[in-house]
Amino acid sequence: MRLRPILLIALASIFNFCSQPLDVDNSEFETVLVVEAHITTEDIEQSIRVTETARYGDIFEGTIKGVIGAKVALRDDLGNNIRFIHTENGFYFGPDNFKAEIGRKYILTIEVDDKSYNSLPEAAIEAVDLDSLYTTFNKYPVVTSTGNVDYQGGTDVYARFRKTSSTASHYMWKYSGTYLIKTYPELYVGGMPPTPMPKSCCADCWQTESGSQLILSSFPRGSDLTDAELFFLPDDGYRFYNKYVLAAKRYSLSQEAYNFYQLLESQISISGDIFDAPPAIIRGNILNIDNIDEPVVGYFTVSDVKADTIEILGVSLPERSGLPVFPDDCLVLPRTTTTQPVYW
Amino acid sequence: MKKYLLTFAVIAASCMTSFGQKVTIVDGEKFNNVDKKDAIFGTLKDQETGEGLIGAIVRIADQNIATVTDINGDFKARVPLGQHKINVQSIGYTTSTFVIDVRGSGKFTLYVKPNVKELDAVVISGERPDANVSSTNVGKSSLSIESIKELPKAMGEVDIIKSIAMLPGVNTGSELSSGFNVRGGSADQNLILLGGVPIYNPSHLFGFYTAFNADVVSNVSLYKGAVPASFGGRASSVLDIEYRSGDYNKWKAKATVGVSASSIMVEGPVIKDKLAVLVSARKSYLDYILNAFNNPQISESSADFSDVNVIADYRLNDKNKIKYALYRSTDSFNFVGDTSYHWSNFNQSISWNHSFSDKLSSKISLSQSQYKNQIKNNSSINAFELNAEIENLIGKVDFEYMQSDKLSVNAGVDFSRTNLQPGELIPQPSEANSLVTQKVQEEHANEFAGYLELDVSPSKKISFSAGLRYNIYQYLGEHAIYGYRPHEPLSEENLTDTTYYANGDVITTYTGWEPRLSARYSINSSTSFKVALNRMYQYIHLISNTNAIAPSDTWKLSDNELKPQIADQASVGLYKNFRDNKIETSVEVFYKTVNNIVDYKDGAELFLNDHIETELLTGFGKSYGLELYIKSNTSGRLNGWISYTYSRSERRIRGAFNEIESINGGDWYPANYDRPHNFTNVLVYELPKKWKLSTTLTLKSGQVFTKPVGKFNYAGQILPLYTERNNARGPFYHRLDLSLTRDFTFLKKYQGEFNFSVYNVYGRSNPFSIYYQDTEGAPPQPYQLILLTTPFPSVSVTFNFE
Repeated sequence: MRLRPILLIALASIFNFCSQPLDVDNSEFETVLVVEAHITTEDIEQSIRVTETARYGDIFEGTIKGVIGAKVALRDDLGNNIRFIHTENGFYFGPDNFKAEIGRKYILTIEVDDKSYNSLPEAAIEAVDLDSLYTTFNKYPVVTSTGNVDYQGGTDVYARFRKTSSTASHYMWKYSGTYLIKTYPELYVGGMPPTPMPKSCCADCWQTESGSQLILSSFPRGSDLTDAELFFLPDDGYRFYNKYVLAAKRYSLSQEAYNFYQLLESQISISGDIFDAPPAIIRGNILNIDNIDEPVVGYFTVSDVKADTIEILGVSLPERSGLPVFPDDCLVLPRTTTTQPVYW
Repeated sequence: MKKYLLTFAVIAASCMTSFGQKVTIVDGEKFNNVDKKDAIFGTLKDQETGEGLIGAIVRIADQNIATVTDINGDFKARVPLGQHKINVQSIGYTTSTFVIDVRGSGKFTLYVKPNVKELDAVVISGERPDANVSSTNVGKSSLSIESIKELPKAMGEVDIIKSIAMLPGVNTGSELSSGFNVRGGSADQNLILLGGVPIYNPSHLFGFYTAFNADVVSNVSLYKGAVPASFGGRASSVLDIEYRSGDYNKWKAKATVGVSASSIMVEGPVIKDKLAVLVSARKSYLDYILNAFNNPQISESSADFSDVNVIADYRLNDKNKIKYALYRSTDSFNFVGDTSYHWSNFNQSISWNHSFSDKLSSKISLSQSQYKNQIKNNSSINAFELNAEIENLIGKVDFEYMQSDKLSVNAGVDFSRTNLQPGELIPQPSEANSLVTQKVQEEHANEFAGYLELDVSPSKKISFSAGLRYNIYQYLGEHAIYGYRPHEPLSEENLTDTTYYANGDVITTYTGWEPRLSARYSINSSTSFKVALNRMYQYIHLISNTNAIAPSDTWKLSDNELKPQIADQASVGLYKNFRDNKIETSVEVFYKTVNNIVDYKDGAELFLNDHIETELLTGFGKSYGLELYIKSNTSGRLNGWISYTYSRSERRIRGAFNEIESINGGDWYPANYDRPHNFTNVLVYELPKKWKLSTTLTLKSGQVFTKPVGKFNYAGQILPLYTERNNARGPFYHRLDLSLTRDFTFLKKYQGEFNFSVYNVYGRSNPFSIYYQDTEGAPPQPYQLILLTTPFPSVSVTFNFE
C-alpha cells in the first residue's frame, strides 16, 4: 500500500509527454519565393499565388505577404502564352475561359524584379473514375480539453478505384459538405442581466464546410486496386442530425508532384514524437533560370479533376451524438443559410 | 611407476601454522631438477560458487613470480620446495594471501572469498587497481556488474546501458532514447554482445528500461579505442556483456520486486561441481496497472516487456567446460490507437572451452541471434501486420596461447551468416482491405574472418598488442538486383534492368584487412602513455529517418550499391594514478573517420521499399575528441568519478549529380547525435547503518536540430522553410539521479536490499525532440517534446535466498 503513491507518480511520469514552446533565436532569415500554382481542367477561374517567406517567430513579426508586380504566365506546347493578372495579396488570375487540357504540357514563367523563374513542364493526366465512394462508422480516441480521452464517433470516407493505363495513379483530394442543422432561437437569452428573449427565426439552416487538410492517395505497392482512406467526418451532433451531402473532388498528380505533396504532408504532420519524419528541405519544380541554386518553394502542377457526391443519412449511423442545444438563431453560426440547396 | 604419485597428486590437507594461518600442502612427483625448482599447478576458485577465477593475478613474492590464471582459473609456477606465500588479486574478490607447503610437483586448489558484500568502502572498479596504467588497451572501459549496481538505478532497474553512458566518450541521444553513441559513432555502429551473441535492440519500451538483466551478468567491457582483433562487424565500438555462471556448490534464489517490473533468479548445482544452472526471468506489469486507471488515455494504452535467461555450465573435467546460454525478450507497446508495436530478441549459444595445456586453450562456439519486430494495425479498413527480422548464425573458434606473462597469442576464425527480412506487409481480415501482401526481398550474406593477435611485453616499460583481422563478405542470392543508368542519380525512373541471382549465388564480395595496433610506454609505475590505431568494417546498416531506434526502423546489408562502412581511428592516452592506484586519471584524444556512412534523402520512403538504395546517400564521416577522467577508489566512504568529453561528429554527403544527392550542399554538417560537451559526475557515499547513497549528475550540450530560416504558406498551412540539415542546437541538457540503498537481514539468515531511486531528481525538462509547428490557437513556433517533466521515483526490494 505504501508503494501506491510512488507508483502513481511513476506512471504519471511515463505518460506525461508534453510539448512546450521553445525560445529559439530566429534572427537569421532568408527571403525565398513561394509559388502555389495548381492549374486544373475545371471550369473555374484559374489562379496562381506568389508569396515570399517571412521570419519564423512571433505572428506579428512575420506576416507572409504576397508578391505584387510579378509577371506570371503559362506557356503550352502549342506555343500559347497565357498571362495571369494580379488582383490582390499575391493572387494572379488567368483569363476567364482558360482551363488546362488533358495531355497538354505547360510551363510556368514568373518574372519578379530582375529575376526570371521557370517551371519544368507539367501535363494533366486523366483522373480515374471511382468504383465507389463509401463510408464506414468508426470511433476514435480524442484528448479532451481536460486532458482525458474520449471517443469520437463519425464516418471515415473511402474511395475505391482501379489503376488503368491511361489514368493517373496519384491524387490529391478536396471535399465539401452540406448538412441541415437545427438550433433553438426560442431559448435565446440576452441583455444584462441575462433575460430570456426568444427569437422567431431561424431554427433550420444548411451549413457548409470544406476540408482544409492535405489529402493524398495512391495505390499500395503491387496493387491495381485501392481503398483509399480520405478523411474522417466527426459526428458533432449537427453533421448527421439529418443527412450530410458530401462532394469529393480528386485532382490527378504526376509522380513527382505527388512526391512533393507527400513531403509537404510529412512536414505538416510533425509533432515531435518518436516516429516523426525529420525536417526536410522542400523545393519543387520551379527554378531561377539564372541561378539554379536559389531555393524556390512550390510545385507547379496541372491536374484533371473529377468529383463524386454521396449522401450520408444520419439514421444509417449505428449511433449518433445528440443534437447540441444552441439557444440562438442558426444564422449566427458560420457558413449557414436558410436557403435550401437545389439538390436537397 | 609413478602413477601412484600422480593419482595422489593433489593432497590438500590443511593444518594450522604457528601463526594461525592455513597451510595448503602441495605434493606429487619429487623434484629432480638441478635448480631444485619444479612446476606446481594451482587452481583458483570462488569460495561460494566453485567457479574458476579467470584473469586473477597470482604473486609468489619470495620467488619474484607473478602470473595470471587462465579461463579455467588455472595457473602454473616454478618454485623450490618449502613454504611460500601466494598473494591473489581478482576483480570482485578480497585480496587474499595463502601459504602453500610444496613437497612435490602437484596440483592444488585455493578458494577465494568474494568481497562485494563485506566491503566497508565502496569500490568502483572492474579491473585490477592499476589496470588503466599497466594494460596495453586504449579506450577500454570495464565495469563489473557489482560496480554497476552501485550506481543509481533507472526506473528501479540496474541499467547497463545508462551506466555505460556515464563513461567518457559515451553518449546517449535524446532523453530516454534507445542505444548509445561512442566517440561520435551512430547507435548501429556499436556491436553489442550478450554472452558473445549480437543484440540489435538493447532496450525495453523505447529505452525506458534496459534489455539486459543484471542478475545474469558478470562483467561489462566497452572497447571504444583499440578493439581486440577477435571482434569485428561494427565501425565504432564493442560492448561485451559477459554472462556469469550458476553456482556449482549450492542452490540460491533471488527475487526483486519493483514498482513496474519484478524478477526472479534461481541458480545451483544440478550435479555438484559438474553442472550448474542459472535461470532468471523478468516481467513488467505495467499492462495490469494501466488497465486499472480511470483515465482512458492510460487505461487504453499498453506497455509490456519480459525477458528470460537460461545458463548452464558443465565441467567435463579440469580441461573441458561446456556452456549453454539462452536469452529471449519481448516487448509490446500501444498508446491509445489502432497501431501497436512489438519486438523480440532471441539468442542462444553453446561453447566449449578446452585447455590443451596450461599455456594453450581454445574456445569453440556456435550461436544464433534473432531480432524480430512487428507493427500491427487493427483498424476496420486496411488492417495489416508489418514484420521484419534479422537472424545471425555464428560459428567461432578461438585459441589463446600464453607463452609467458611477456608473450601471448590469440588467433581464431569466425563465420557469420546473416538472413535479413527488411519488411513484409500482410493484410489482415477486415471489413474492406485493398492491401496486398508485399515483401521486400530477403537479404542474405556470409561473413568470414580470421585474426591473429600478439600481446608482447618485452620489458616492464613497454608492451604492445598487434592484431590483424581479415574479413570476407559475400552478399548472396536469392535476390533480384536492379540496374540503373550509369552516371545518373539512383532513382526508380533511372531503372534499366533486373538481374536475378539464385539461392546461394554470390552477388557481391567485399574483403578487407583490419589492423588493430596498440602500445604502452610506462613512464614509471604509476604513469603510462598509450597509442592505438584501429580499423573496423561494418556490413549491416540501420536505415532510420525517425528520431529514435524504433520498430519502424529498417536494417540493410551491404550490397552492390551500398558499400561497407570503414572506420579508421587513431587514439592516444596519458594515464596517471595517484596514492597507490586509489586515484586514477586519464586523458585520451581520438580522431576517427568513417567511409561510406549512410544517410537518407529528404522525404525518403523507407517502408517496404524494394529500391531502398534510391532513397539513400553515402558519404564521409569524421569525429574527434578529448576525454578526461578522474576516478577515486579510496578506502574512504566517498568514491566515484568525474568524466568530461569534448567531441564532435560531422558528416559530409556530396553527391555527384545534383543537390538532391547532397546534404547541405555537400558541406560538413553535424550528426544527429553530435554533442560537443559531456560532463558526468558519479558519487557513491557509504552512510552509517548500511545505507548507501549514490548520485549521478549529467551535463551536456543540447541536441542538434534543424532550424528553419523562415516560414511560408502552402496548401493552407504555415510551414517552416528549411535550407540546411542540423543547423542549430537545443537547450543544454542536465539531470541528477540519486539512489539510496540499504542492506538488511530477513528470516534471521538471508540478505536483502532495499533501493529507492529517483531519476531526474529536480524534474529538469530535457527535450526528446525539437520541432516547428503551426497549431490552432497559437502562432507557428518551435516546440520541444518532453518525455519526463517530473522526477521519476522507483522502489525495489531484493531478497537473496542463499
